Amino acid sequence: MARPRRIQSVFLNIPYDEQFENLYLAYIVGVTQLGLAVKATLGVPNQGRLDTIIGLIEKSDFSIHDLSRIELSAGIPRFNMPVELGLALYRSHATNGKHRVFVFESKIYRTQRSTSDINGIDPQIHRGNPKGVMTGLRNILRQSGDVTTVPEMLASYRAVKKRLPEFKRNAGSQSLFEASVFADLTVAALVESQKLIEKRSGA
Amino acid sequence: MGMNAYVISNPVPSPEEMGRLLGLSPERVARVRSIMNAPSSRKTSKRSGSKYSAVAAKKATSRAKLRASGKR
Repeated sequence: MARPRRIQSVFLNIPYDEQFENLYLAYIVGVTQLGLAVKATLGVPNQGRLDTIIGLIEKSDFSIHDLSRIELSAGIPRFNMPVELGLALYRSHATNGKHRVFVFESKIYRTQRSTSDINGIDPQIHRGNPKGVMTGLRNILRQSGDVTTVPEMLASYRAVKKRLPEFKRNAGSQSLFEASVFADLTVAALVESQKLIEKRSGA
Repeated sequence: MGMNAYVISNPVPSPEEMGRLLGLSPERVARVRSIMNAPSSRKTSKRSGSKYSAVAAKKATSRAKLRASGKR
């Protein structure tokens, strides 16, 4: 039996809440359609969570950290994303930069004020919309072969979004942030990818 | 650290390859494929073509009357 091909992977560090649903879907569709496997903390039980996060970062080729939602939540600042960014930065240091770290934000210059220690990293500004996420992903990632465009990714995003009720229903959940829905969305993005590749090759 | 683009050396995986990586059964992948390939249910108007023409004709008449009366 042929050995499975290695698929490069990214540790995706994003907030999991209802207001972030569109961007969450944009990240999954965009990253997957560029040819990467997403490693995320979804479905990781709270016990031993930190060890799991460290393990996911170690197993990933690079990481993406979205710092657009670090504001107060019910009066308490959200520190999880910066903590995970710190872990990834240390991983990058320990591997002599082999593990790459990319930062996304919704507002220009905010990271320079909120997290000035990372001023050497230029954040990708997505302005809180899916197109911005995909543009940022295309800026930081280069496909060596077939190249997926932002309009193609956006069309796939819309196609997958249309099917969300069915994916949620199959998972028995109202939320997108379930391990089961995450897996289905990843596969769905690749079904759309195949359609794009076939269309491009005129099949 | 974050300035240069990261080069992806592998081609875009197939849904089946990703399914295996995620530990999904081939049946589950096939199910997702069939969901994505199913024709989308488009909301269609209950008005028939003839009703559309009748409404359009009525609108055109009232627009013409309005123009003739000089009202805006």
